[in-house]
Amino acid sequence: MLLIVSSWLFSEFGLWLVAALVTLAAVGAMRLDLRRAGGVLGWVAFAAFVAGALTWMFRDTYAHYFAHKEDALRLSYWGSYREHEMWKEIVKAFHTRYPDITVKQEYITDRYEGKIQQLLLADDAPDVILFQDEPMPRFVTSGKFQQLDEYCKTPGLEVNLQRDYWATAVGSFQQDGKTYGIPIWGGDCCVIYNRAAFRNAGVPEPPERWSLYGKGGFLDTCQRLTADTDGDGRLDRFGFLVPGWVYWLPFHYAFGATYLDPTRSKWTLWGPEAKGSYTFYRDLRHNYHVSPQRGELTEGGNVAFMTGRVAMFVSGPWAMPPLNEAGVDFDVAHIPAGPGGHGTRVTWDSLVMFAGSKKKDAAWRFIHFATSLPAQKIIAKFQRSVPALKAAKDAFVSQNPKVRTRRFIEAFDYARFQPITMHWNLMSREVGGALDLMLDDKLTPTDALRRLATNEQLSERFAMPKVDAP
Amino acid sequence: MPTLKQKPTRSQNRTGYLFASPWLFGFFALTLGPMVLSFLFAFIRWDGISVDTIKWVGLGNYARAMRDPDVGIALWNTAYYSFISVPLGLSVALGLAMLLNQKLRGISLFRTIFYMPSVIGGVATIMMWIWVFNPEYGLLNGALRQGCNLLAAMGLTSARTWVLPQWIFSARWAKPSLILMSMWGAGASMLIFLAALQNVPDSLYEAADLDGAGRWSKFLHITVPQISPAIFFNLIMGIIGSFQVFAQAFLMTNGGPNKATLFYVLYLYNKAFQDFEIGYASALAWILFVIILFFTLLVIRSSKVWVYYEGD
Amino acid sequence: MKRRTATEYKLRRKAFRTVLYTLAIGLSLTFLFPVVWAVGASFKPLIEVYRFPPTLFPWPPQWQNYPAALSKLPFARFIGNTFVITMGATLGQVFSASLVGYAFARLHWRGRSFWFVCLLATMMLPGQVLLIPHYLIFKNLGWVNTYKPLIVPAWLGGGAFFIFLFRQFFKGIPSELEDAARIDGANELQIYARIFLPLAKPILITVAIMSFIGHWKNFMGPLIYLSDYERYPIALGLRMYQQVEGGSFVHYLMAASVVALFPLLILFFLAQRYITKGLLLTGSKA
Repeated sequence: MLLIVSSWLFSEFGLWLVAALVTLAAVGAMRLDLRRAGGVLGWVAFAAFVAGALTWMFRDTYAHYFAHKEDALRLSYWGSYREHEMWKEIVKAFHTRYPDITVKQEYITDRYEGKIQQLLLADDAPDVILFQDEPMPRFVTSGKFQQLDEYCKTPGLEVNLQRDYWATAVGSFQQDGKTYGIPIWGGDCCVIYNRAAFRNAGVPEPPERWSLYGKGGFLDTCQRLTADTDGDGRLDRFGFLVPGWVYWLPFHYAFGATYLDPTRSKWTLWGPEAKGSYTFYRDLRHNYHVSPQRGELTEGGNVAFMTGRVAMFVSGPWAMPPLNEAGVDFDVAHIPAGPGGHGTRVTWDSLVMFAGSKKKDAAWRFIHFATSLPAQKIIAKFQRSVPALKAAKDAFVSQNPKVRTRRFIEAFDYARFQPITMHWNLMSREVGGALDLMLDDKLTPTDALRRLATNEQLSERFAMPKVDAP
Repeated sequence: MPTLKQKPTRSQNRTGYLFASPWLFGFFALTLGPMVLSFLFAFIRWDGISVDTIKWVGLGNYARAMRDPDVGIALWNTAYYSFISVPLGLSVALGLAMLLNQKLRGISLFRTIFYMPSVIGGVATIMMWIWVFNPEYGLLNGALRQGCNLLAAMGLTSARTWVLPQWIFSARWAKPSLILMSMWGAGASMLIFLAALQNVPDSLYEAADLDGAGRWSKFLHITVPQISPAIFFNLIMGIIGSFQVFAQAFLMTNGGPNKATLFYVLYLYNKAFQDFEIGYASALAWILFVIILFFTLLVIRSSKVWVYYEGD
Repeated sequence: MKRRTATEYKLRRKAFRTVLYTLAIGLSLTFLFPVVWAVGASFKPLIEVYRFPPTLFPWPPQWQNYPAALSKLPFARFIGNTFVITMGATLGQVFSASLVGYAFARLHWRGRSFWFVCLLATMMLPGQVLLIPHYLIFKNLGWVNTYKPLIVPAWLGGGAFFIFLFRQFFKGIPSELEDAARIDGANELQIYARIFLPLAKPILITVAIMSFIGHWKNFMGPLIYLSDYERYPIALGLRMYQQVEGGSFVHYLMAASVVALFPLLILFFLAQRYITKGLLLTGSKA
């Protein structure tokens, strides 16, 4: 008992309490004109306060170096409050299966990559990290992600990537033949359309498979949807919302165009296919005007869609939860095929293991669990992404019978990798900058392509095509 | 009592350092180290994730900064923003503070309202401004359009054909738009001017009234000198802050359109955290440091002429 | 100089005051606008937030947004955390910044101007390049995932901004009061505490307000140093309503933001009354 009291007294709170009491005594002494006593008490109070502060400050330092480290498995992820709920369910299911492993959820609400980078640098990273495909190459070269091929063969905890998971998912997290992440969920992009807008316009919904041109095709549908419904001279409903370059990739592929070659070292955005894609991109806004121009919308992203101002846009399954929440009557259609082919963009998230983790076995158990059927079914239930495990696809499709979510699964047949490299951010900024001008009609498609093909920063990183003089 | 001209005594030194010790301690323990470290970072190439990727490049980063055309663009954008928004911001803040210094009814309420933007900040403000700036449907152009119609109705018929600016979507108007936005968030400087104005003794104004001074004369010869310490403060903080403008460009325009709002710190941030070039970003940071230091020292030097401290 | 009659003075004053009122009210509307929009948005169903042309206030108002938004995060806990961090930091800042500001303003010591430039220099390096080194320091102290990196620096002078501000104000106080006290035999601490601090009431309140609001809204510091979700302040908690792709849950975000920021407005409204004329009027020269 004495031990508890004295240890509490010497803790920061005890010392601060002493400081507060002595201060009161000092004030009292001053009131009673006992200057000397007041002064002394004042200094005692100050000393107690400083002692308390020092204890408070360095107690954690002591613990950091000498005390027993915590035993929980650390898991980090991003997302909205819904994803947080989803992880809570997965962790609960995991704990039922492995009661001796405690999982600490580290929910990082903003600047995820930056925080992970910092934690990796300080060798203080979580054991299991949710990680996206786009920054993968850059982080893999740092050597801080554990290679997982050996773990995949652990008896009782096997993971057969080639057989059980979607092909693009597996490939996104492998480098030089080695696996660094086990895919957990993701999705490809399809056309999402507002059924109510179609009804109001009297336009039939998109068929199972369609193409860009021709009667009943994508362009034709857009044109029939675009109208001035209240007669004020301004268009109120648009057929399509022109996206950024990443979400334009499906259409880009439809013209047979690419950004990089399969080795991802050569810049291939040049030539008639690229011109076809970018011309169509620009024409949707300025020639056919089925897509709103810069000033014609205030809302960004895919939110104009919710109000029916725009009848169609391109996105992945993650667009669905807010739409469901807002009660929008929507459905999914396949990406139209084009003169150069058929393709869509797919992106995946994975679980990676920190190479410096002290709990690698427990970490592998969690990774294995989260990418196996019970956990993947939970993911399917939340509908934010397609589970990476093929066997969970029915759970995903059957969750929402009102929407043809099966099309997201079918689109895997024609899905292709994004042009991901270590220079993804730079590439994104430069392409985005040129497209901003082109889509505002301040730069012709050919000039935009030329600007990118002769871009100094890109030339330092990729092999550029031969560009003829203008 | 010793004046500034005499050397301080040992006990005075001791007192001075004692009072300043919290900051000095913090400076040596927490600030100096990181600053020196970032200075050293400027001499390496590093991705910021793993120490294995560090490579010494000497003055290579600085040489690259001299050659980099984007650095020139960023400096120009920042200088443009700074040299316009600082004087403008000071004037607006002072004007508002003088307005709030009056004995109007409900002045407490007004003060709260004027300070609200500084309190709210963040997502709500950005979203609202994106709407205000919209060329077709936004508030600003809506008001301007009404104004033009009014002028046209009054006879200036060409007003009907005037083209309204595209604000943040136009390379020409993007920076002025952001400057306009910064005016509106002048709360902190306004508050400081307000505290300064409150400290100006009424007796000075009354004496001036007896001498028959006009409003402008009172302002110039009483108010300004009395609050010159606050002007000095807001000017220096304005310079230091505006040279590091970042948040609005990051959240609203992302450097566009066509690099019109590519401010220096935004460029630095992209290099550090998106392109993983910590070394280059550190070199850029120190270049900015030297520039800011230069202008600040200039102002400090000049302050001997126009700043008046009651206590000296 | 024109002579004016008493009634002319009265009329001029009235006209002046009318102009002032109009100006004040007009400007208020522009300043109030985002608040009104945000509050309106907090009552809208999600689909109406983005409706075009935008509406200011929805009908019927969705009162349930508030309990819904507040229930999806551990709101009370976040506010509690924020309060702890903010109080700890604000007390430290007001206390230490005034002390150090006084040193730069009224005390004479060797190297004062040099250290003053150093003080300003600490603000001139963009904070982004200091993130990693700062983190490494605190990691080696074992302070990550605690509130210490957010509170302790505030007690060590708390940043150049407020020190500089105090310096300016302390310099503006006439030296007669100080001289008189010195003749009476007071030491430096007493001069500081009994004479300068009371006179600096307007600026103390100003700094307290600005510091409180700044720390309440600060998200960068907590983001870097905290990893335990239960320790997050409200600034990080609000970001749970932002989802990068697919659009944010703006109505919940606005409702939660209104509740989170409302205390700041009340605080400001109550506190700013004390930024009144100092005791200078009663105390100084004839």
